[in-house]
Amino acid sequence: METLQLLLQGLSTALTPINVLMATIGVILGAIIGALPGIGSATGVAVLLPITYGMNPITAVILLAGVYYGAMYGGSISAILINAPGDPAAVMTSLDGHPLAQQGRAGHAFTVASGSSFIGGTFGIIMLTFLAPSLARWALNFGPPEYFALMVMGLTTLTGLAGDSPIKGLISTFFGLMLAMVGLDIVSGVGRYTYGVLELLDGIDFLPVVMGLFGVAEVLAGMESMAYGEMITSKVGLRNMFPKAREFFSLWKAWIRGAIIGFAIGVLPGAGATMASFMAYATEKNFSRTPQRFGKGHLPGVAAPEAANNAASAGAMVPLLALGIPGSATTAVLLGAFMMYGLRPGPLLFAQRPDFAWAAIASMYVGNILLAIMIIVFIPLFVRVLLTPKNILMPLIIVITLVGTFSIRNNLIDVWIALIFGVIGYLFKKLKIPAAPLVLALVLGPLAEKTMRLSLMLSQGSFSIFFTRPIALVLMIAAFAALVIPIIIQLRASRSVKNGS
Amino acid sequence: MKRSRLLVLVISLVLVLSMLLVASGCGTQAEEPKEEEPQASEPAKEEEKETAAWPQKPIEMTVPYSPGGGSDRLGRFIVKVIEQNNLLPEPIQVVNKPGGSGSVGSTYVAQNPGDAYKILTFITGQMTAPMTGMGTYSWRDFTPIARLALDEFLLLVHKDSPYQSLEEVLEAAKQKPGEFTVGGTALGAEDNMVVGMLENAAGVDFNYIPFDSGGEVNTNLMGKQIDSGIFNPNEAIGAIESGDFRPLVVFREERLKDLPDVPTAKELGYDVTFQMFRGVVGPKDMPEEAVKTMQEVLKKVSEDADWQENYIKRNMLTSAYLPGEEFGAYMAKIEPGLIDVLKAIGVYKGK
Repeated sequence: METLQLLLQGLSTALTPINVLMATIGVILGAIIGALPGIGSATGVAVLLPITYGMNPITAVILLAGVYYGAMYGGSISAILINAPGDPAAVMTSLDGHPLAQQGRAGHAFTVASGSSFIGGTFGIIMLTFLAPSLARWALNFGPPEYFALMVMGLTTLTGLAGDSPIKGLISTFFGLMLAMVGLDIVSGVGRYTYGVLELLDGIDFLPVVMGLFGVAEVLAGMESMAYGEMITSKVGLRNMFPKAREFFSLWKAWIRGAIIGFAIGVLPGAGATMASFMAYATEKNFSRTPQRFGKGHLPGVAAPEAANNAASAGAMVPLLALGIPGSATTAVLLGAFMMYGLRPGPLLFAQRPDFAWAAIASMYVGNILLAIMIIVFIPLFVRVLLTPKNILMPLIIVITLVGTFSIRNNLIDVWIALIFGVIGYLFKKLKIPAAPLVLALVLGPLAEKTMRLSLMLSQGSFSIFFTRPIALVLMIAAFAALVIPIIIQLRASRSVKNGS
Repeated sequence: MKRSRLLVLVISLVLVLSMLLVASGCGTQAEEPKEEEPQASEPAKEEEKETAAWPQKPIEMTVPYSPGGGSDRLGRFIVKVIEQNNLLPEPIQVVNKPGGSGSVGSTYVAQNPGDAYKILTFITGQMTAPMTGMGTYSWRDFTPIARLALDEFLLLVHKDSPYQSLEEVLEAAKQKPGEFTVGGTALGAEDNMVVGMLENAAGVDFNYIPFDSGGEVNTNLMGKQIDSGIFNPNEAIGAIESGDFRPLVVFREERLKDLPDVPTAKELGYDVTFQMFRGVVGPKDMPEEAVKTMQEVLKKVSEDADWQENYIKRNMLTSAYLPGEEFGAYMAKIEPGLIDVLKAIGVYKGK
């Protein structure tokens, strides 16, 4: 097969010593960037860009791509250990990953996270290898109306995330949507709820909110019960490091669902890994026979979103390589890098520079293997962080979180936002209101609004545009189903409980 | 104890790494040779003496847009050329301060009048942002240092589009006023202004769709969600070469060297030319010495072979160096025209 031949040629380039070295450096840097709260892969790639100017373009892209998908692995490290997701795509990982760490099963959480990342990532790259051009063309069918329908579906799946009380889930969701209203109105150009604060014109960025709701709030809650020298857990013996093989492989369904959802969403320009991991988690919970175990340290709750966000980062390479279209902030930076190297990203990239495109893809196979091995080797080391007495660990978390928050835009206002949301997150914890729906609403809200407004501009104000286009219609129906099915399942479950008793 | 030693190691590693990353996040500083400056040739030494007073500490170059955008590329390329050629004795760092169509970063620099160590990348959009109500500092609140390049605008349709020429597009727009869609970046952005000028000149009414970025316009035109799109040449060249997009017109005095078959709007009888400038400014009352030195440095940057080949040519820009005062005069000259266009498209909120 021609594709395989090209891939093998790519592999022979990717496996030269210098390229393997660069892939290794890239994934290590990526994992660190991902683990540090605040600094995302987009900033990481932009910062490394000038260092790569003198390099061979293939080597340079291998390095930068390594940073990109390495960050997806790294994000889970801080999410599990200290409940401060390093990357918004890792928010869902913290929901079950951190409780696992508190139960002394951090090693299990890491093994599952990196195993799932590897499987999701590899699935994504295989799809990228064989289906990139046709998938990229398919993704083009998504115009503003389809994106709006997708966002609606994202918001309705939130009901599955609501935790114990649907009302509390809704409170969190609507609070998030309210916050999403802040910023410039895209049609009239009027600033809404900005109170003259220039920095709020672009809206409230979700990263500082995540830092506050998770990192800072975690510390505030931890201070309540802090005894001098106490640790989160003391169970870090080698026996507790790795889950039993049977337990690990029983997650295969979560991997498949997570990888498919992640890849499909990742291919769509603009949807991204954050939404992919949310959707995968919600789907997993909806499919689960034991949804009540989610949020309390359930392994599928780590497996699905990790498989999804890595599949999504591979998916985002599809429109970039096949059409020259950036699907995420990081691929936009990569696109700029391509031009710097004298490449002309566009539909002809595969034809004009097959060596380049295929070496980049092949290096992703190599990088994923490197990452999985590296993380598993280092698990015993990561887990030791939990042995840090809380009175030392907590201030460290605050410092790292706030420094990371500042670095997002080099702006102090983001630090204030993180602190304010730290207090809000603490109140949420006390009131048992889930924080994840707020974050998702804040991510999806502005996108939903923008795509709806753009759709209505395209249709001259007619709402029929959402129901006359086939993909939009299907998504709208799916959104409705996502709202209704959990309720039916719940009703049926309660009935069978009654019958049983 | 072994365990605690390991712990200390992990913690200090994390801390050091986070500091490193944050430091580099604040400004990239590739490891460049720093020790070799004294060995520079004799005339260079004399030059150094003359300008020895400035700079005496690192210079901070604010890029008021996100990493990866056009201004970010400008800023980082300037730094690269300066460092490669040792044009300044002190390092220069890029700091991204995005927000409010560039006004967050502009405001940050404008609030430090007289500061000789804060400079700012400056483009047409930052000049017009305060006119549309974003930010309070006008371009007159800055010290112009140098203009470096001009960027062009193209109107493109999809290859499957029935429209073969600008005339056909205008005819279609005339028949259905307000329905022919043109995709561009944000409301009041340069793309919007070009569309507004064309509407005025041709007496038509387009349906301008404000996306967030050139990448999004690209996606939506490729997916045939919109009838046409406004692009900078470098955003679309890949898709033009592959034949997916058909360029109809360029809004410039002469045709582009790389796209000699694309007519200018002027040739077709519509007097619409619009170019976007990219330059560097400092805060108000920036010391004259600093302005002079920086001007010289940027002049050398604009004449550098690497700059011409890998920045100007690859991004399909026009190299257009103008030193400080002339840059200021240029902005004064284009200002009334910009205000007229902003008024015409209904976003002018100026004083």
